Amino acid sequence: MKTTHKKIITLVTAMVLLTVGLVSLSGCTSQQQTNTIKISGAYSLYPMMVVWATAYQKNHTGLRIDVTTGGAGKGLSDAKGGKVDLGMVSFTLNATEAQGMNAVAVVTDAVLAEINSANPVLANITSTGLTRQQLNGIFIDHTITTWGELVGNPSITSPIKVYSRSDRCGAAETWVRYLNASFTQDNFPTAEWLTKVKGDDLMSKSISGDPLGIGYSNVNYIYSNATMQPKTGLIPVPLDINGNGALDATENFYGTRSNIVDAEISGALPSPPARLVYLVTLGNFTGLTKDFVHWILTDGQQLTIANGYAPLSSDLVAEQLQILGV
Amino acid sequence: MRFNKASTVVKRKSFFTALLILFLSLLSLLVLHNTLFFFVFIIIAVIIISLDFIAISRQLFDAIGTKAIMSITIFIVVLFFFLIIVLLNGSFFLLENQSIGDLLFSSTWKPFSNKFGLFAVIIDTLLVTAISLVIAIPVSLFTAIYITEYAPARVRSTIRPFIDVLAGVPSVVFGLCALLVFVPVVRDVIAPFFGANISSGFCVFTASLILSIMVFPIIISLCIESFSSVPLALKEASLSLGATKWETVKKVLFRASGPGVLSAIFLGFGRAFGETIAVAMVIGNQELIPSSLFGPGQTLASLIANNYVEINSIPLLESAIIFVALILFLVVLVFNLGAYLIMKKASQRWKY
Repeated sequence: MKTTHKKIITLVTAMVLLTVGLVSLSGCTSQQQTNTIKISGAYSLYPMMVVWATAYQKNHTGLRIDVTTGGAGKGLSDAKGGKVDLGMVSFTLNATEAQGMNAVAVVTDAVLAEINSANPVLANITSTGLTRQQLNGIFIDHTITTWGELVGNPSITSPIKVYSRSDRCGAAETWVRYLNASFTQDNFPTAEWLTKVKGDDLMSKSISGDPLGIGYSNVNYIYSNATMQPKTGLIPVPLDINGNGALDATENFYGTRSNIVDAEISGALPSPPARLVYLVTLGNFTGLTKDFVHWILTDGQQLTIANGYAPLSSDLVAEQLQILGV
Repeated sequence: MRFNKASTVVKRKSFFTALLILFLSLLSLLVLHNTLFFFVFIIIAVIIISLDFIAISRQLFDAIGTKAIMSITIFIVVLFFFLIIVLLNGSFFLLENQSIGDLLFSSTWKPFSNKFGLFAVIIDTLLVTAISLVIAIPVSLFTAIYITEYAPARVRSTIRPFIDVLAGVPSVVFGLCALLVFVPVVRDVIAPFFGANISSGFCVFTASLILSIMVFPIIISLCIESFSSVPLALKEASLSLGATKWETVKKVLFRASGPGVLSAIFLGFGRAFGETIAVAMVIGNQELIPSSLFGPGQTLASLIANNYVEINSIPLLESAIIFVALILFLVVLVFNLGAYLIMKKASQRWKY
């Protein structure tokens, strides 16, 4: 055969095979695309969502659930823009944000303040806890500027280095609402003594490296999943909820993560800083997404306690199922 | 045009090309389900085959070719203006709602209260860029002088590749290194040394530090090139008159390569001004002008990087971010024009 003929035959065969291959594959991919649920958003819900997705996918082969983080603000933004099917949002939507969106609560979580394990007044703080006024003075008014001032020991002059979040997130909203019910994330001042970092992980990392730092994080970023104890270098700040200047037995539940979950369920830890975490979607919940959320509100609730989250009460579940439309 | 004889065979090259285009058309129909592309590709294949049968005069081919090249160039220019139009279009929403005076001269950036004052951010950008250049310029100049004038040839050839690689490292790598290394060092060592105990390490100084490191290789490479291009005769003349090596460097080398050094500095400024991700990671995200270098700040580029994920939640915020992008674009434009004019003047003044 002449070389030209050989070349033509090889080329045509290759092209035919490639076309056939691509056409059949394209059939596959387009089918696969409709069997994917995309989820993004809050760092606080991410560990739980990964557990739920793994468990759900085990019983539903052929379904793929993609979960990414980026913060609650990103989750809301992505859901609004249609980029994801579900946005994980750890704050309550305001009127503008809620337009066109539907939200169901799926789990209870909490935000706590955290300090470094080498803090100069650690013993004082862990024994008496901090009141709401003191925390306001640290995070908002800057009336308490040194660690010594905080515990009434003027000889300690180390400054308090405050950290907050730069991304729009539920942790900031929840924490600031605990400090003052009418505040929003915007109330964290733009000031030199406050550093804003992006994301829960970076917040915990910064506090664990800064002995004079104080910040706030979701419980699952303060406590280690493996040991249920606070992560190395981090100590959660006990809250003196009744403001009596001492940490009562009912207020002392910071030993392990399970203690905190129990406190969330019993109400010993008030809401805020405990709060509901939501899944939001553009328009109504439909199809595979709706089934998944339904599963989360029913069977999925049993997986929450083991993972550091508190399940919803049965009244709340009934309410959410009604919003879901089942 | 005239037609070739019918016995002329279709040339091999065009045959294969036409076959490939036919294949693309099939793909676009069966895989992408795009009938428009299908027909477009079929037509292109037909044209390619028929070109074998039509003889085009050389002059006509030349005219077609010239027009094609010109239209590609025009496309690039149009792209530039298109970008400006896109940015202007996106900013209109904000500009209808707020006065330019408020936007450019107020320091309050609170999106939730509809306040988008950029003054502090603009000042911070200039501050960070200026400090990074203040650190980078002397170090780069002296390194370049050492490499061209004082280093033995072997040292020179060993160092240069390292500098070139540094220039090519992606900026996010620098940002990560700054986050992991510089932030704790500034927080625990450098800031207390200068008396700033309250620094968290996420500050203007850290951002300037990492920016200066990114700017080094640019200035060094360009300076080396302009220093090497100074004629040997000039340097020898200076040395033969009794000047020391350092005096030669100061009085002859710098003046002769003045325009080159200046353009290196301008390029460095351009890189430092627009650098986004590395600064966003370490600058502390506070839209204020810090009272010390060790306080947090925010630059125009890092403002966009730190806020673009939330643009769907607050409508005016999206427009504000686009406005910031427009400011960046215009500043770069004005700066490049200014740099060009200054370079022209400098070349005239420093002629030898």
